[in-house]
Amino acid sequence: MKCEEALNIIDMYLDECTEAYDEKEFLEHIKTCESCCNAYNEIKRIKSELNNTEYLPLPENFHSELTDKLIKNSKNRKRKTIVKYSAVAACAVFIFMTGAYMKDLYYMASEESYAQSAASANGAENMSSGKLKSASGAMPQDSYNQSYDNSAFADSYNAVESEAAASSAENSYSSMNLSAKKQDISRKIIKTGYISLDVLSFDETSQLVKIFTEQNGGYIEQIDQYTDYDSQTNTYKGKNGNITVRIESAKFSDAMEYIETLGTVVNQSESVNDITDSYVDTQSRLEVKEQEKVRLTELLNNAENISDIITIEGRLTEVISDIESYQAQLNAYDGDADYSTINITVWEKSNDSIIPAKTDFTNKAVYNFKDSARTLFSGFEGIVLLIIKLWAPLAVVLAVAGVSVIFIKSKKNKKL
Amino acid sequence: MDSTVSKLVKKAKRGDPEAFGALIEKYERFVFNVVYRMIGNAEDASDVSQEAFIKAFKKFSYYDENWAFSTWLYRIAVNAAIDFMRSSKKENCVSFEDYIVDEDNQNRDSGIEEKIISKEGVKNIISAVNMLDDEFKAVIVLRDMEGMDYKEISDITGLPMGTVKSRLSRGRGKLRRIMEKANIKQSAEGRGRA
Repeated sequence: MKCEEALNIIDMYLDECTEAYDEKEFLEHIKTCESCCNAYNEIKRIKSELNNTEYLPLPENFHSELTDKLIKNSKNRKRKTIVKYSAVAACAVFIFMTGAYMKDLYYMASEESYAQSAASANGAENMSSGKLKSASGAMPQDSYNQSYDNSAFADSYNAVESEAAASSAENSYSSMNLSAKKQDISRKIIKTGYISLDVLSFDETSQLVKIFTEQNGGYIEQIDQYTDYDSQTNTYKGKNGNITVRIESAKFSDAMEYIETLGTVVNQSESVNDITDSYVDTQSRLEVKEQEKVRLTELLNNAENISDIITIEGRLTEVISDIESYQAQLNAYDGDADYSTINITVWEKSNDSIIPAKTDFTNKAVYNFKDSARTLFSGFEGIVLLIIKLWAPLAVVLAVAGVSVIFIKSKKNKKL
Repeated sequence: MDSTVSKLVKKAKRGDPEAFGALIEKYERFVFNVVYRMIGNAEDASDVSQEAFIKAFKKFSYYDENWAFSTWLYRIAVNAAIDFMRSSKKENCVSFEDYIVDEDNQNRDSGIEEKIISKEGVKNIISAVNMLDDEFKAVIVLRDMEGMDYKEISDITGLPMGTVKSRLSRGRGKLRRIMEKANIKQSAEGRGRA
């Protein structure tokens, strides 16, 4: 055996691992080789010295210091755990609230668009009726012009027209004093209100509105109602509808305030339309026509031949028709100004979601408590549905996260 | 595993502080001495072994009961000691093993060895061990001072058995050279005083 080989075996021999070499050969080499023998003895001595080293006693206060550190660490861990779980809880609440808020926003947006579409529908209706009115107002004028063209008695009519022209000059003078007239009459204002309400019962609400309206000299112009079903589950959700109320303008504000108390106000708006100018214009036209009627009546009384009488009578008929039309328009204006319109959209909802707008503190507190719980549940429901909807990508993400956590844990264990 | 230790471990895992306290009492002296033998300074060894216990307390949920508790605890202590030695080496930058590369370079490095020995002083076998490179300290301490077998050392250090054996052999060789140099120096000093 060579010295190099023997030196490598010394450690194994001393550690009593004899299976990897020939022990006899090693011992014979040690006996014959002084250098290897010295190395063997030296390592044996060091090993023995190391083995006989006595344990040091623990430093004073070692145990108490360690205990203090562990208690401090334990408190820190508890604090960190509390902070960690609080953060998780805060995140969860934030997610729930965001989910619920988004849901509310969605509903508000959909209800607002509904309200806008309802308002625009009403506007369109008003506009078309306005057009109809102006068309009917313009019609006599057209027919008037037409009658000029077709008149068989142009000469005699020219005489009438010259008088009419004279009177219209007079009228144009009087029209210059319109502003003065405006001041003479009270302002004509049409008030329109819109309220969207969540209520417990559509029937009860419509009944209450009806009673209030009748007690205050108003009337229900229109009621539409329809039943709402859940499209997915085909279950009954409630009754919804629109109520149009006409109420004396002086009681418009009182009526709006009363209706607000019947449920949760989802949306509300008021608009005011000043029709004083149109009213005064129509009134002036009416006066002109009245004067024309008087003059035509005088001419008719003084007419001597048949053709004049026929021409004047034809024109008189037209003027009387115009007068009636203008009068009807003025009556409509008066009606609109005297009676305001309130459009109420009513949504029947479950018990928990309704709170009267004007109620006592206890009811509001109970409502807010229930609302908060409902919001939380709604958020939770939304998250569960989202998870179900996104189960496939979420499963992949969770699998990746799980593998990563296992990998990190095993790394940590190895490091320990 | 000792059945008493096993019961204490189970209780401690359930969050019983008294059980963990009993485990500390049982192992604190062993852990302190292993760390001290690697570091060579009682004050630092006290801090490092306390840190090792705190780390064990924090990571107790990771403890796999298929392992001996002492092996798991020693592993944490040895790693804490190695981390400490690495960080203190960065600060001090003095180590005998930094200069001994292999047997062939003995002559070239002998001057440096003597310088280190004269600077540090080999007061006892612990100070000699302390002059070894970190990678040899752990195996020498665990095998020759604590009397552990190769398998246990392999589990504690996370090294393969072959690496444990070779490090043990090389570590003892280096330790022998340190002791030889120290003896030569001591006898020279003795002659000088005579």
